[in-house]
Amino acid sequence: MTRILDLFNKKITYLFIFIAIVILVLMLPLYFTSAYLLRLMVTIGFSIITALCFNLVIGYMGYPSLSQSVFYGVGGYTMALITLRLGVSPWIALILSPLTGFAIGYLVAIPFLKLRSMFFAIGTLAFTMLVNAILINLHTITGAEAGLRGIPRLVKSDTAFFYLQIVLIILILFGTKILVESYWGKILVAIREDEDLAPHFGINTTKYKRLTFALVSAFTGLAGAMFISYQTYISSNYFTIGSSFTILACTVVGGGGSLLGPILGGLVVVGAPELLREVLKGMYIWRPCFVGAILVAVILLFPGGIYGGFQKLAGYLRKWGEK
Amino acid sequence: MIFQVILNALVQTAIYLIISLGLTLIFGVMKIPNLTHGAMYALGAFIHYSLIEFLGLPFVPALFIAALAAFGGGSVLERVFFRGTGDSPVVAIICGIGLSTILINVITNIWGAWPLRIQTPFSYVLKIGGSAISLHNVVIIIVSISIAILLYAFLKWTKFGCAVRGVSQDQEAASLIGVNVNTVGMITFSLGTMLASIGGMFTAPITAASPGMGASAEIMGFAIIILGGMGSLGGAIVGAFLLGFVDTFVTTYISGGYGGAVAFVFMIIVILLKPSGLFGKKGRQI
Repeated sequence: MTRILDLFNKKITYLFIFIAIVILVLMLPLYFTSAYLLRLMVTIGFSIITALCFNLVIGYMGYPSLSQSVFYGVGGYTMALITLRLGVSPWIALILSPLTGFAIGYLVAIPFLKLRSMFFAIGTLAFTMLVNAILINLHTITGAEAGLRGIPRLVKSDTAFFYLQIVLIILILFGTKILVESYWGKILVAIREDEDLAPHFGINTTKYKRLTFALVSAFTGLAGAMFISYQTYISSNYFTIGSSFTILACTVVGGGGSLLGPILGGLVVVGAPELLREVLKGMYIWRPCFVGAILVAVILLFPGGIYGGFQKLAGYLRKWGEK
Repeated sequence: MIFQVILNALVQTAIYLIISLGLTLIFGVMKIPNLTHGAMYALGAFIHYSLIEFLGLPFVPALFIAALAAFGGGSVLERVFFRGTGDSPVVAIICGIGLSTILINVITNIWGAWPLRIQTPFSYVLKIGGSAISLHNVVIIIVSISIAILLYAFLKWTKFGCAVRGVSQDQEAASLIGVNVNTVGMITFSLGTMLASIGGMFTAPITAASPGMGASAEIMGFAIIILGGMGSLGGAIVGAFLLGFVDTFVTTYISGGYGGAVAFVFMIIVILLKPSGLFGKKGRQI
């Protein structure tokens, strides 16, 4: 038993497992050809991307932001307004969206990162409400709840979008890994563990906090631009406080502060309700109840998320194997 | 005209005050943002509706029974879900999101998604000079003032209120001198939930009761307690006055859509200048 587990500890094995999973995921569209399943996979993909980005802020830096949907919206509106008003190619808009995301993320970070923990959560919640109110009131520009139609797609088919997402997910995964293992990542963990102590080691916490927040906003903006191009339609309803809650739920339920947690979280939080749709055919009106119950059960039973739960289980198995 | 606007602003303030007093009470003692507040606000209104429509009770006795039911519901929520989540705000936030999803779904399935109107017995309209105010709104103002006074008296002069203040200042020290922190947490959470439901019951005759009615009220409640300083009762009163007046005046004189937005800008400016709020404790809280 121990020998098998030792094998699994080797890094090269992890790499092979990772490649195997990627190939398996890449082959998914060949089997699930129905439009519904493909759309579901793309939807899960978007929540995984946003959750992976957000993981840096909440998991490594320890700031429970509730304004991620604002940056998602910044990217989305960049894509919508540039392609519709200026008529340029969506790829140019896709390149511009992280820039606007970064700029607005940095501007938001300057005041809001002064707050901490609960106050940061509530402050960003209010900020999301404010932005939503502005979006609805500026309906001549943003189209408000009725929305704007006819945004061009980056690639034509849903399958191509799925592959585009896989590329982005792998990029973000490796980016996060490199960042977390670098000096920058160590600083983030230091901020999470004790923000008052970190400056005593000569760390400029303000600079790193703002940069990380802006970087995460940039990638969230990129995801938002892709999402809007996929929908070909934008409405302020996509960027309410509810979507912020979903992003937070994906990250925390999966397990913040771990590389793979947000992926599991996206699968469970967005995927499980759809599985339940099949199981609970007769009682579909109670579906939100089950979703809420899953959320509450996971967070109360495994505060470290699903990934944390797995790690605990693996720990027990290892102990059991050593006996 | 201006007198009428001030009257409307007072009514708005009174409703905000009832909601935010409950929120700030819960935050002060348990240190969690209670995201089930809006759902309990709606649930209170619907229970009240059922008691009046199906059991034929008059408005006021039904209100007391529904408030007691909300008190019981609040204690169940605290005991089963929220106890011990005070250490990490994220757990409390996610738990609150999940629970309010469940509660709103239950309300929708039982009572339907259509808005229901509750008839108020105080339908007489008072004329003061050139402006008018319905008796129901006068009752709301009186109720909210008396709730604030009762709460102040409870916290200031009763032994249990002293324990509540002790727990809100330092949980560990309070438990060392023999205060049962769990009981205090449960009672304050239930009290806060009861206040939310009372707010819902008084708002329903004005705006009609619908499952999602709590969302905007809850957000406004949070804005008020952030503005005033979280966990401070005086701060909640001042915050409710400020945002109630800002909201009503902007809605009347500028545009209906901007009422909430300007109130939020106001709140954000205040927390940027003083992160702990107008009347919050000095220094940052972790």
